[in-house]
Amino acid sequence: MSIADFYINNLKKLQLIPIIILVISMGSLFYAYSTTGQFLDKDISLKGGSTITINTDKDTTNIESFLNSRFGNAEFSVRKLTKFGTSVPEGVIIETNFDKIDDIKAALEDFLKIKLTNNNFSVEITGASLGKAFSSQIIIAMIFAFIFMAIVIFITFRVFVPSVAVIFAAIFDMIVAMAGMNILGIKLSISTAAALLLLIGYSVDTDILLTTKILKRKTSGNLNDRIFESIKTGTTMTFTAIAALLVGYFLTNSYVMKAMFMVILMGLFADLFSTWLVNVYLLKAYAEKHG
Amino acid sequence: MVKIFTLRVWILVFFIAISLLAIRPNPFASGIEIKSVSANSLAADNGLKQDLKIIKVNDIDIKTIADYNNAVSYLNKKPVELSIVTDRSKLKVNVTNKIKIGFDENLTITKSEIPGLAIGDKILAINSKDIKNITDYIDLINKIIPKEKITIKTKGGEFSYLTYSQPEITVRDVKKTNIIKGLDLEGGTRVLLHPKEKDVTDLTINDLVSVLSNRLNVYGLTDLSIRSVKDLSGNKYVLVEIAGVSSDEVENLIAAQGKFEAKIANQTVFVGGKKDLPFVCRGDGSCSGIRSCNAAQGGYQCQFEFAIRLSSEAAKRHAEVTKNLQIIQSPDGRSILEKNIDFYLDDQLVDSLQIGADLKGRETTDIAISGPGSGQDQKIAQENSIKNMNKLQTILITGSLPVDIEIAKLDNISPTLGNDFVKNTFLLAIFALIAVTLVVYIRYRKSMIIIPMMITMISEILIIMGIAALIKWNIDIAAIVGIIAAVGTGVDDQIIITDEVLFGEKETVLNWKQRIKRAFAIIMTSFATVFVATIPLFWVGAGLIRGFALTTIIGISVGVFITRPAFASIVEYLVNK
Repeated sequence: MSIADFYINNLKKLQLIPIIILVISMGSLFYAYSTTGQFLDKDISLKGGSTITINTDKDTTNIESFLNSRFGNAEFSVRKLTKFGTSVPEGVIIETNFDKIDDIKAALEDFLKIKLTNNNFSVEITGASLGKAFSSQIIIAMIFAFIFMAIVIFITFRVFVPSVAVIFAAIFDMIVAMAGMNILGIKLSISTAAALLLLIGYSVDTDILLTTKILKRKTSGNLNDRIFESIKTGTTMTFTAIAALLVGYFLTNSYVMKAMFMVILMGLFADLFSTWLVNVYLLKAYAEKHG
Repeated sequence: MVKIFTLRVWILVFFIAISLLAIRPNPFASGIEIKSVSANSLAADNGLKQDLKIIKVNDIDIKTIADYNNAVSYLNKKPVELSIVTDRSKLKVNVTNKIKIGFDENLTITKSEIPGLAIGDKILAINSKDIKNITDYIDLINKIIPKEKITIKTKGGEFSYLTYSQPEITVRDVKKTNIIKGLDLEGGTRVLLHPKEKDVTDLTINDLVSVLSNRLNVYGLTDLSIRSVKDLSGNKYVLVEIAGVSSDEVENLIAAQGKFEAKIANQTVFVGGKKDLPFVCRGDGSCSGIRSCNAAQGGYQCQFEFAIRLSSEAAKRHAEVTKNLQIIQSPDGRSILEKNIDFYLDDQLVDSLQIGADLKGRETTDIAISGPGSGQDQKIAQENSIKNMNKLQTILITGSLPVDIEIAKLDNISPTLGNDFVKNTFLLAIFALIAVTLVVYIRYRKSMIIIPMMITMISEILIIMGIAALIKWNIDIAAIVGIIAAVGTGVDDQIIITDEVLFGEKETVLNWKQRIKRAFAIIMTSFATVFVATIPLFWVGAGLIRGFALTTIIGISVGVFITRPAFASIVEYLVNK
């Protein structure tokens, strides 16, 4: 029995895979919620605080413990930057809730024994209330994006079950991507939120392809042939995107971009399951019933 | 017979041409040009302007920023020590350019930015040479610290003048394209301001923007962008972006509402702004400067002073308020009014001055404003006083902001990050293109598909950049991600078209046109979903990722309406051949 036959005959059993992925993802998100009070850890741009970026080839290994001992009651989180593919230090990103930037700057000059100037020192400060405003904006934007997307889908297909299937796939992809962020420690920020929204676009692409082929091309070939055609086209689409994003993820020297690429990558990975297992199953059942 | 140059391909060619014109790539451009000129500076007065390409400075060829810095470094003079003898003191000062004092015809000091030289002192000798009159003074000073000539040859002519200091300009490498880099790539300061009051009208926000930009311009910052932004819940913000400036000067200048009031006996006599103050002395040593410096608790305190002119209404108010005040004797025996004139900045008392008895009830228009500055030592105290003075002058000239504002976000970004980033992104784009091509090749194994696909991707990037250059939209990190996203969905669409055309063969009933039409049915739906899902992003984060939303939308639209039809045309041609 070929893989294709196995696949088409065991679609129902194969639903177990996306169900397990969904359960694990939801579990991870709710676990985070029960321990921290939020599904995703927010970054400085959403909760207020400062991000300091220093470009230096000096060793920054002990910078976090140094800062913690120097400024006892403040929180610091430090991320080292290295040249691509090497361990050559390129700088460091420090996030903190401590607002006396000048003090931190002086302490760091002491520690690194370099002069921090406009050329090697960047700082971004976000007020707490603005962070809160940004967070609620992101949630509103996501809700709007989903509603708008759903409207477009309903107008296009004009049938309930398939439309819901497309929307479900987008939600599935997003939940998996969010759980992935949780596990990998990628924080929710304005840019990763934008990546999550972008995911809607990438996710519905393949679903629209599949739904169109199954529902609107009844004259050309039998149902299974149309499904396989869609899989061929759709996976090529997803794999080109994954290839480009992987290259981007490994090559970029911007943490912001790295995080965005990773979020979309995880969503695309999830999309392979939500489209080619769940959606195919639902649409096949729908098409057979409404013949 | 299927043609390759169909109307759709011509449209693509047209847009690529327009984009190239807009971007004006000029990879071989070299040299440097003027990035900004400080307002009210010698450089500005002598006609130096932004964007002029600098060819020579004093006959030295200028190719790089380092060349320029070397060429003007002779104007960085070593300090000269002057020993000054006055009727009350002897002191030594180090100066590099003109001595910042003003005096009358009797050589009695009327203004001084030099600690130790007090107003009222009379200059007797400098460097053991007796000074008898102003001519003596000028001759001697010109000998000790001569002005230097500088000649700057630019594409727009030659500029030559005498100066004590380096030209008040900033320079940059000549632009190789018309693409404007965003702040996170170029470096600089970004401030997001939020009105403290709720329910601020659009009109107020517009006023806010205009006062702020005026204020920054008066302060001497020219390379800036100020705009108002609204978010999804209707919160209003003002976003200020200034290239290449450190944040504290900006923070100081814009965070203050700048509500200035001069009060006598709790009655307001005048406020900041053109209406009450038609003239504020600024940047002129003869009517503004440091008046005195004294040791104060744990450090030094200096007083600055500058002249202003009141409008006649304000002068009338002054007369009205002082008319009924009693004349009393001050502790040092002068006749003064019983109440001081108090200067408030944003409801904080800046300074309180005695009023001479002769001003009682007079419609005086010439007044001096004063204020303090302190520091650990005299030098710092003096610098701080000058800083405070500059700020107060700026605020008095431009008036107060229409609403009180707070700094919601303050970013200071170093230019180093951006430089690496741009190089890195080029590399990334090339490798990502190769990766995509590889996957597509594995799938189709036909170069006739790959070549048009690559052409489409590259032309999409070109057209997005071209549109950005045309509408003067900054390309920042968010915008670059948007371009990547748009090109990514573009590839998806091309795969859909290719599959419909190549593998729709079972359905012989359909011709190429119908197949492409079917592909476009799918493409248009996914275009519409990405489009609507991106729209809300315009208002998220006070517009900070508007670049992402805009480039994504431009990108996918260019894809669907320009490059994709052309791609379909080309594939149709290649398949039929």
